[in-house]
Amino acid sequence: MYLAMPTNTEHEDRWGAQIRKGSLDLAILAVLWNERLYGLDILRRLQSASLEVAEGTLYPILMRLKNDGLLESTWVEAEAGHPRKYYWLTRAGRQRGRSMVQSWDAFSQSISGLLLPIKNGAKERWK
Amino acid sequence: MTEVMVSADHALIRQYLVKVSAGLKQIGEDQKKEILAEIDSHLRERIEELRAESEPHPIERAISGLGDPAALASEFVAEARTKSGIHSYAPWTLLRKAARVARTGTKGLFIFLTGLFGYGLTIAGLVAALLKPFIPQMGFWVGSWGFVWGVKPDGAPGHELLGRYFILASIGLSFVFGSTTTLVLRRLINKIPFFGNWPMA
Repeated sequence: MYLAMPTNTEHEDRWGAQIRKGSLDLAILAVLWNERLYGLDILRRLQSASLEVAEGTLYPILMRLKNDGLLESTWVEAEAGHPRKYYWLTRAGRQRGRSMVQSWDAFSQSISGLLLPIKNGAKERWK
Repeated sequence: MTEVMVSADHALIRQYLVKVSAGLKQIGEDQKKEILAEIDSHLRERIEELRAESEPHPIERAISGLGDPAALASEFVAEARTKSGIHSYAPWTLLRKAARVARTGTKGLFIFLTGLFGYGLTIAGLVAALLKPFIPQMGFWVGSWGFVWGVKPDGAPGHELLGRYFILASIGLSFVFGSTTTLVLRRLINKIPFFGNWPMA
């Protein structure tokens, strides 16, 4: 019997996608921290930070964050000739952003310590 | 099916939106219209970008960027279900959550005590209704000393107002206390920031 095992690259792709998805809420709160942006604008900001987000992934998340009371939005008639839906952070959104950054930092510190043997091992191997 | 109330001026965009709309069955009408309007706005924006870059087939490319309409609709439905906070209306679940919230500080403790008090009144009303057939003095007593929902204090002058309707009134009051406490508790718990579903918290 032939069992199709995922290759290393497939594993890494799936793992990378999970990390990106898990951090997307925080990334969206971060890009909206100082300004009001519309969907495509948010997408471009995320992409410019090397976060490859599918267009179809962003809007459902924006809807959830708005339903959770973290974002507010309004339609603005744009010069382009069609309305754009602009988003901004609510007070609860800012509080959530701060809390998430604290969690992120704590997690990042813990995992960095754990990764040291791998990093050191990689260096030794290439000496 | 919701009529697509957007300004889609191209048959392909319109078809796409109709397909997305068909997959948004579990989403409320207002939210559905909002979603479709935003997708329409996104597509128009993308088409303009692609036209400015002189890309061939801008409409088709803009649509394919959003992916399969059914899959997009499923993502909206899935995200609508994962709203953080508490969704239950079950008093026991709400009280257990309130007990967890109570550990977060004074505000949390206040929420828990509110729940305890509200559900306490609910149970007291039900108990009073159940005891009325066995304790005839049970009632809504009013006198110069005030009023009491239960048994009149010994020797105090006063008269009972509800008679046999006391049982019905007690059950009604319990229902009002119970449902109000449930709604208030849900609202208060969901207002506590960061009591959501962030996995690393």
